[in-house]
Amino acid sequence: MNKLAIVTALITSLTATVGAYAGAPPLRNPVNIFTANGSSLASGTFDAARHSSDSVQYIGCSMATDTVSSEYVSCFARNSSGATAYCYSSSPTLATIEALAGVNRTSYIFFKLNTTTGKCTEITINDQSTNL
Amino acid sequence: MKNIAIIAALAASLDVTGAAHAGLSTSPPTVVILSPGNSIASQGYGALNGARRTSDKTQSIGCEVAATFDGWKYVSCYARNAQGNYASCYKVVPGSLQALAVSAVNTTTYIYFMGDRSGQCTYLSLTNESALLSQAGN
Repeated sequence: MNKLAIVTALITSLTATVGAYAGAPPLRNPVNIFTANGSSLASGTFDAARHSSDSVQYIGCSMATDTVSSEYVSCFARNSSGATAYCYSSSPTLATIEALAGVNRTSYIFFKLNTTTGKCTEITINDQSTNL
Repeated sequence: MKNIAIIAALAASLDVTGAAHAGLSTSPPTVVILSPGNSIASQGYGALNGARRTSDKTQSIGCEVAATFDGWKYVSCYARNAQGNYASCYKVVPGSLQALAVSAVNTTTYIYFMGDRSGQCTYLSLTNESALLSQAGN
């Protein structure tokens, strides 16, 4: 118990120290869309998209189900120039569903799609303090 | 499979339409009670931020998930609009997506659900999107 108390105190002091330095600054990743060789890549953080000076950018993901057997996930983005990207999967893996369930205001989303089929080939969700 | 894709696209377009109108976070709940004979009895949709920031004290929308230690799971979603109309649906022993999706509801979430006459959910969609954040960022 004493060891636990010491470790807890140490963690608390570390947290307080980090707090005093106000944390690492935000990365401010706006929505980027890149297309080449049959694939499109889209990425960006919620916070940078929402607080960009334009009123154009957005990024997000969606999950849907008929509550019986069908499951459907999609991700979408629009950059400051108005270019859009959208991908979907009607057979998402549990890992994909778990990743999308973690999307919130601290999220950085990256997704890749096959431009011929429109299907998602990769989705990455990153949640960290510097995304705020 | 096609049906769910069409409905998902419809739900997404509702969401994106809201986002395109620069209000960005204004998506108050809308409750639709359909006429008898329709296989879908009710539907509700809207964003948490939109509901929370309306001037009335009536509107709300949300979902919940519950689980017991013996494996029983339950999800439900509900919405109340400005007129006080209320719609909800529930599902016992939902699939993995339903439970995970509902547990993912936060300030960036737009909810869309449909229920049949027995009250069971027949469609559930949750979208987390940057445009649904308030200007203050919460």
